[in-house]
Amino acid sequence: MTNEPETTGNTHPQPKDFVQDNFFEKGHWWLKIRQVLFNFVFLAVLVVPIVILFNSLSSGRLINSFHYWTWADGFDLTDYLNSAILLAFVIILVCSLAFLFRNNYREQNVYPKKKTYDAKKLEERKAILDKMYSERFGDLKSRETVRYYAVDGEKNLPDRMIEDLFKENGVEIR
Amino acid sequence: MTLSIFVQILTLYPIIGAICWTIGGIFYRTIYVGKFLDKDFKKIPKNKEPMITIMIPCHNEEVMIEETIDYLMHELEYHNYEVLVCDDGSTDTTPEILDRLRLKYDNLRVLRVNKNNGKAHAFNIGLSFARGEYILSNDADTVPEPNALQKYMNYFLSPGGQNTAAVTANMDVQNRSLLVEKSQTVEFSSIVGIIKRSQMGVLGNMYAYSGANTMYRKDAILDCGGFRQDRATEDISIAWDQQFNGWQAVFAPDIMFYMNVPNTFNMLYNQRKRWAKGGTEAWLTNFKRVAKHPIKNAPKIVMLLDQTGSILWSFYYLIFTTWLILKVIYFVFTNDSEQLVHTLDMTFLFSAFISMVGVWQLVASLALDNHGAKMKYLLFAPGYMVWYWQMNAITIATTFIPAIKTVFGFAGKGTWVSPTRTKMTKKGGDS
Repeated sequence: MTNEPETTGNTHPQPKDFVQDNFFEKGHWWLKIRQVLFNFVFLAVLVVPIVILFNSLSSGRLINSFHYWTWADGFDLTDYLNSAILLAFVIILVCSLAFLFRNNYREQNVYPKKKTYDAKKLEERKAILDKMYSERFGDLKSRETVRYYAVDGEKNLPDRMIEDLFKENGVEIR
Repeated sequence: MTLSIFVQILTLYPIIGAICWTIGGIFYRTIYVGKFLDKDFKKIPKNKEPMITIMIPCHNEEVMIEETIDYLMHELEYHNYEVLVCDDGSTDTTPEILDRLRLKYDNLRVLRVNKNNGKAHAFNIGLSFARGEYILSNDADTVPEPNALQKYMNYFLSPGGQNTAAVTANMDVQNRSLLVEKSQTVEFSSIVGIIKRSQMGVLGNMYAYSGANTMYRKDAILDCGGFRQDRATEDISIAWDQQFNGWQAVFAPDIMFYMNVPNTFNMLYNQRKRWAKGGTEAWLTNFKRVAKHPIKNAPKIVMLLDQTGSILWSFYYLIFTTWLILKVIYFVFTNDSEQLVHTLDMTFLFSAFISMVGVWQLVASLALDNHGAKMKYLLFAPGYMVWYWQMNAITIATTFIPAIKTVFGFAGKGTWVSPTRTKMTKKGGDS
């Protein structure tokens, strides 16, 4: 291995053995037929309302023999939904851009330049935890080297024990 | 007036959500500066590799565990790591398999928790035994791509990486033969893919990690006092806790991992109930914290508002659907064909708009994910779109009260039950 960095980004295709889909393999005809039929029904559930909508908006000219409606409130609802989606799109676009610029600023000017977490509290919390772990499961060195360790039921950690320990020691998480 | 606007927004919630995620996903790809591109990943020299502990929490995983460990020991392009299995009271042959594998692999360690107490608890004990400064949470039915550890470390070692608490990878479905599996393949691209991109790019915050494969900085877990043991989903709660402590959460769409997903409706429904409960718990827990500093927490407010919409919409949808069904039955029995056709036409009209926006979101997300490798699954999108709606709404509604009980301390003790697994490299059989 050299010290010269080289890219590791795209060196591997997907591990083929891990993705298994009989639909896209040879054979398995019953599975394919079954899935196509089911899918056709699901597709109809999605597509039929869309066809009815456009057929109605064109007063039946899209597919003459297919169902279409002429309700006045249908046209009103369509207009409302069109306007609402357009308005939502514009508002979301503007808000997303504002958040995005804030985010890009943090990526470039905050995260690389300063620690955003409380390093002092972190050290205090680690010390509290190490003391508790050492009392229960042995010192750090033995914990990190043992290859098998069994924890008896009475050594299990109660649900809010660590939270309470932090509170007692003045490093509560708020 | 206010109520009317509120009801309108709630009615349009799925459409508004789809617009948000699509715009966010496109912004992530185009304007967001924090993402890694293929060319940005550098190979880390062997002598500079930080120590990693791959932690596998498991309970009765005899079907998968050996295959997963063999893979992790042989296929990864990384050297400085150990595998620590936290066996949480397995009652099958998992302990025997682990005993045998320990003789085979020097860097395999086993922590046995005799009394099954849940994944978060096993993790919290495992943390104290882990030698790594970085901890990869790796489920027993999950494997990362071979160069994943290298890529994960690239994020942590980058200039801004000093504040990175965790990097969560992009999940891909391994077993895709059945329709229920295909739906999840589509879902993990649309939900996990585009929503996480959007949260990362626009908000710079993440709602949840994928607990099945996430690399944590050990310090950033200890800073939160470990994982919350009384929550249904430890990966949602830790994401919020870390970000509240000032750490950055990162989604890495170019780090792929492969997972065995539930392949029966029952298993899937139970999994989703757990996710929905975990989501509601996070919502209840974090509302107060966010409200204390609304300006500083503006991106988190957006995520909580989204979650609020999702919960309210689920109830709204179920109540509206029930009312609609009763109305249709009434018109059928009173032989009022004009009202019947009118009601159905109006319902179809609204569903047509939802379908069109949904298709738009799916096309965008499948195109963005994994360089478009899953575009062919667009063929199976209709199935996903038709029945997933119902399941998500039902799971959120049915787990709402249990989630409230958990957050306010009235819930019982949680242990875990692993779903039925199938071997990853198993071939053949339509099952």
